Amino acid sequence: MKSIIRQLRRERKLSQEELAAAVGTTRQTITSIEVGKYTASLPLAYKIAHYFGLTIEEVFDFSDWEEN
Amino acid sequence: MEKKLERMRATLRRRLAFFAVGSGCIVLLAVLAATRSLSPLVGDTHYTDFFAGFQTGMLLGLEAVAIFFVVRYLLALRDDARLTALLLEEQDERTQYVEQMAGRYSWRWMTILLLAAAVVAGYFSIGAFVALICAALAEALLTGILRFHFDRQTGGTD
Repeated sequence: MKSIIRQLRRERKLSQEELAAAVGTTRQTITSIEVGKYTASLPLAYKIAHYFGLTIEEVFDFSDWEEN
Repeated sequence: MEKKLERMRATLRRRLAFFAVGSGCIVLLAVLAATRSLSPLVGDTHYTDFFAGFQTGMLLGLEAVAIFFVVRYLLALRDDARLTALLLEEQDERTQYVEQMAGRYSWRWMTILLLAAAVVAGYFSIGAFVALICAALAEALLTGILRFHFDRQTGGTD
């Protein structure tokens, strides 16, 4: 699943490690989510979106899922 | 987060107690194996030597692993940054997913491989055949028990 996490991180000059620590996960998981290789669970997706002050739908791209 | 760290500290202390007891047992068994106090009931001296060497090496390897984790946990208990990193590593959902998927497929293949090995071994040794069949049955039984446990835990059973 695609997301704009990398873009949001760069806008805020945030490293993957800092974001990972803030949402309670590891840097590797953040990397996997950013490249679309891993789909975050609902709680993690909510934590990430909430951290950036956005909704889940604004951070994650559900268009592929909706098409399927 | 502080509550999670406190729970993690309690978990690490329990693990350290387990490793302390385990390490003692391992060292004792290693000494018994090295002094040939625990010798196989069958086999010639070559086999006895090989078995003693295998036991000693395996036990020392286990001890090394135990020491590694003891040091890691002691350092984590003294440093909140390390404790937090360990907590995140253990609770990371992607890691748990990977382990879950690996376990899901590995038990099936292990059962098949054990049964195939039992069939091949059966041509050469009845003892090896029985041992491999028992291992396959034990694995299947353990998997069944764990599946039942987690199924009930997540409310899957009426």
